[in-house]
Amino acid sequence: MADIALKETRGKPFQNLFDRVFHGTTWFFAMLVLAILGGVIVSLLDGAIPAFRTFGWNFLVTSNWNPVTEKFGALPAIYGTLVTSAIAMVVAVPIAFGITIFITELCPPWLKRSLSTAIELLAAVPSIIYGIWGLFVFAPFLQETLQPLLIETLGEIPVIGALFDGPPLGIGILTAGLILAIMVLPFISAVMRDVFETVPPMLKESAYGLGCTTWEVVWNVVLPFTRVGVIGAVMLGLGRALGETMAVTFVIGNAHRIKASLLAPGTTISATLANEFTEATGEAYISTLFAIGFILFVITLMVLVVAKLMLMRLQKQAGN
Amino acid sequence: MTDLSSPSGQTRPLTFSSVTTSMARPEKAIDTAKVKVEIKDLHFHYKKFHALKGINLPLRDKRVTAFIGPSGCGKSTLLRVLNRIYGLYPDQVATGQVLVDGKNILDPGIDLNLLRAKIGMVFQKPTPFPMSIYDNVSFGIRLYEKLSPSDLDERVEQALRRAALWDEVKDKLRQSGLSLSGGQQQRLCIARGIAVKPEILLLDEPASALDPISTQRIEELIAELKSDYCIAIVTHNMQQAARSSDYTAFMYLGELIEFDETEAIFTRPKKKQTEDYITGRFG
Repeated sequence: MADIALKETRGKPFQNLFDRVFHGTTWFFAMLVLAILGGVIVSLLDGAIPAFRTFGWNFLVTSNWNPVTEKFGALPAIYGTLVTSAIAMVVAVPIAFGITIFITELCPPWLKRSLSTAIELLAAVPSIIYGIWGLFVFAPFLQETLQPLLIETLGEIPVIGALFDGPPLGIGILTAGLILAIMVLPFISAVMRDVFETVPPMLKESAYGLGCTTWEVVWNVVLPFTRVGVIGAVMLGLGRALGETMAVTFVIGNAHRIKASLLAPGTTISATLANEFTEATGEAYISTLFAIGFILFVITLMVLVVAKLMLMRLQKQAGN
Repeated sequence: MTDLSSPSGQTRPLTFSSVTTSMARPEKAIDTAKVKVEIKDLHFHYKKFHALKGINLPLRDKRVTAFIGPSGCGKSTLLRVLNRIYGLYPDQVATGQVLVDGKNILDPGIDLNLLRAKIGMVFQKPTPFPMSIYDNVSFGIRLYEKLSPSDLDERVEQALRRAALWDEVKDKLRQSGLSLSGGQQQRLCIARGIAVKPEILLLDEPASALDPISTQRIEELIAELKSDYCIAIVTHNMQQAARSSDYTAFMYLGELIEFDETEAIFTRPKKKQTEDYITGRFG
């Protein structure tokens, strides 16, 4: 249909041809993306099928990880992935929110640009650098400061205490979560800043005009106005945290165990893959790695779907 | 081309003369309403642009003062000085004095939140907050007063009644403020503004984005609210200024050209520029 319209409006045959080629090329590239995505899913699933066949549903709920006897369970890796990402979100979202409020509402103009650039530069640091820094600087630092403090204070409280039990090893789930928090921070705050700046100045002025403080304006007007974008920002950060590999591999300790304590070493799906793909010789071992890769893919997809559903519900509420 | 056969032979448009007769107060004595806001030698800079050049102007309590003038004359800027909303933007600077009840609000030591709670503002476009109709109105009240739920309900109803919106929204107070029509949203914003019981109302072209019927309702509302507030209104619409104000200030290029009772401005302006503007010869 578009072609017919083009023929009628464009007289020159050359232009017509050029436009067709242009159409075709853009179509091709758009479809290429879909084809690659489909290919990835198919090959992941294809590689994973033997493992799923062998271990069945138990694969998802057992913690065995024995390459010698080729008995595998994905639970520790799934657990580590979810818990490190959760720690990252709990730490990064409030900080990103604070940074964004400062930059959009309070920051003097001369500082605004340099501060924004500095935060964006955090995103430009390669993840391997975070890994090295995490292992040689950040983990020993936590081992001497934050971890003993947590053990002595929160560790003494019943129930919650179990989360901060055991020796301060430096590396472990908590350290990985904190590194992830630093890594996703720039992404969350950059998107939050962009959506905060979409709030009409007149709307903010009317809130200030009622005598609101900056906090009241942000909490009662800016945040409800931008909630869709803010959730998007958080989900973007979560998506990155779930998949982040190198930095986590350096500091998490790579132990296929589930311990209640956040100070204990653990592993994530991506760290397991990065660590073990060279050693995976047996067919079941390789297939297992494909299987946990597929699980990571599904988790990320679920985050995306949940985010979309939440946004749809919010929009429905707002539309009433 | 020109209708020379006009029987009245008057030089000014008919609307003004008909309006001014109804506007005329019984006695022509000096207005005894107290001066609520006294603007003294006010200058305003917008980066390097000199937007207000030495404005001197009183705003009287329980009177409506209209600011008229062509676009860019500084009338909105003047309004934005009165609640210091311009202070949100670091490159905007006001110097001089604005005395509200004798206190200079340009003084850096002034509590901005308290000042703004005392001065309500309504903007060109309706700006309902992204929350329910009820919350839009109660929001400002809850910032400064701790009221019991029933007292709060009462205040919300009161404000909505005064803004002539109650009957239209009383059954859907929990719905989003954004679900209302433009005219209703603007009245909601007025309700929100008066719910906090301010002393001064600033209206920045409150009807410019509205249809004629909504505009008329807003104007009726202004006439009604006048008995309680000191009202300043910026308008592009001269009939609106003539209809709804007691005093009119004509501004041009950042200067106050003429300030007088509305009747005087529209029937016997002293300055040529004022006359040219209100008769539509420029602007």
